[in-house]
Amino acid sequence: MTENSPEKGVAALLQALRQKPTEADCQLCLSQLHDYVVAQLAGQDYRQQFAWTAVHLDTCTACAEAYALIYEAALAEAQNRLPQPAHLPDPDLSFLQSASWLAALQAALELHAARLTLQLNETLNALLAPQPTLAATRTLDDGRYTPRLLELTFDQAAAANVPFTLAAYADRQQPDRCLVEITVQPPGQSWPDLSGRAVTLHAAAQRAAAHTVTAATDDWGTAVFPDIPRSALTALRIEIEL
Amino acid sequence: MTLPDLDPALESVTLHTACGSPDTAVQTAAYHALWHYLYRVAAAMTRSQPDGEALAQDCAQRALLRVHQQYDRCDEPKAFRVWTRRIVCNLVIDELRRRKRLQPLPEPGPDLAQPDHVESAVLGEITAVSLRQLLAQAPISDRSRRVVIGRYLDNNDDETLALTESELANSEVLPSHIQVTRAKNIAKLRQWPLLAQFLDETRG
Repeated sequence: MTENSPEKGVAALLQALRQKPTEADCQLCLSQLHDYVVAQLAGQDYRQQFAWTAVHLDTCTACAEAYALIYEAALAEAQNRLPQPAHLPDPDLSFLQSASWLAALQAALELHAARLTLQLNETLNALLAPQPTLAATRTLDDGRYTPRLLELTFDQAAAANVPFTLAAYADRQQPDRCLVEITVQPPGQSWPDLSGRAVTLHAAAQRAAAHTVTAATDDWGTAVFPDIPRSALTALRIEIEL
Repeated sequence: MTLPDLDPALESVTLHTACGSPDTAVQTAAYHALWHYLYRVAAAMTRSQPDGEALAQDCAQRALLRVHQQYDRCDEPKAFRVWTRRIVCNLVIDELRRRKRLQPLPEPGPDLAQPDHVESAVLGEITAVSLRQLLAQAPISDRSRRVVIGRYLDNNDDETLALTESELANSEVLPSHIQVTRAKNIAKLRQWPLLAQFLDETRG
């Protein structure tokens, strides 16, 4: 029996008539459909290259219809006939921003022994700028510290797998100053066992000598640093004893 | 933010590079261009669905996210656009299957369980001529008959059959139409009692 003999065709048709495709067959077929269509549109011998898929398509109407959708979309693209929507909705690209701040944050973190260091920079600070919809005033100080300038939220810290949150607020009484607040909460620890950890800020202000200030966390794990020059935020280094 | 003016029909390598750019503005513009492309592919696939636009938007958005998540897996920038098209096509097909919008498998017909090697079991009994004669009586349209016989007994490919049918119908028939027609009619033939009887009688 030759490759193209009538007997071969009879056998193939009888096989197709008798075949009962299973869900596993369909899954295998669907995984190959795109390559099948690419080969077909490229003028290759696709029925030879994907012989099993070709037979399956003759025996399964659902997969044949799936094939037709993929084929016709690919053909429309090849012929520059893809539909042009009258109104193209906007995509949600928030995942790009999430990835950006995460990558920037991880690049700015260093862990040596039990000391975690975060080096702020302009790129990271821009990505940590708070969303306009969030409350922007520190609640404890009658509105002195507002608006919020920077924020690493609890959710962001969890996503980046870092054990602290960060916020910086403008000081309305001293426009060139701000307040920085760090809350440290290592995994498995909680109030009131979060006190006494040393948090150190190394600030390099543009018009003042570099200075370092250390504070201990309270029972909630929070260390507060008022009177930090706002100009120091762009290069502030934060060290946390874990 | 003002985005660089990127052509939605960006060439594949350029689009690949821009999607991986560390420059946020360039990357954002590239994903906008990719969105434009993926949405149109999805819309082409869902245009006959009652909620086609919403379905296209949903699948294109999910495809965009998946492209971003799996970007490193595309190691052939020249094939980046095709790679992204595969992602959105698979998502549309998955969604249509989930919503049962693709025609399900036909109901089981008469028991046509086959031996492993069809040729050895039946070829001594069924010839191309007898099968052609049998199909001439089958309760299917002439076009359906031509599509089945053309593929199996005349060994024509779907492109050739599509050209023939286009000439006969005086309108464009695509190879994909031929494929769907053949699959549906093979399913019908399975249910046709005379063929089932024929196969039973001729089984070794």
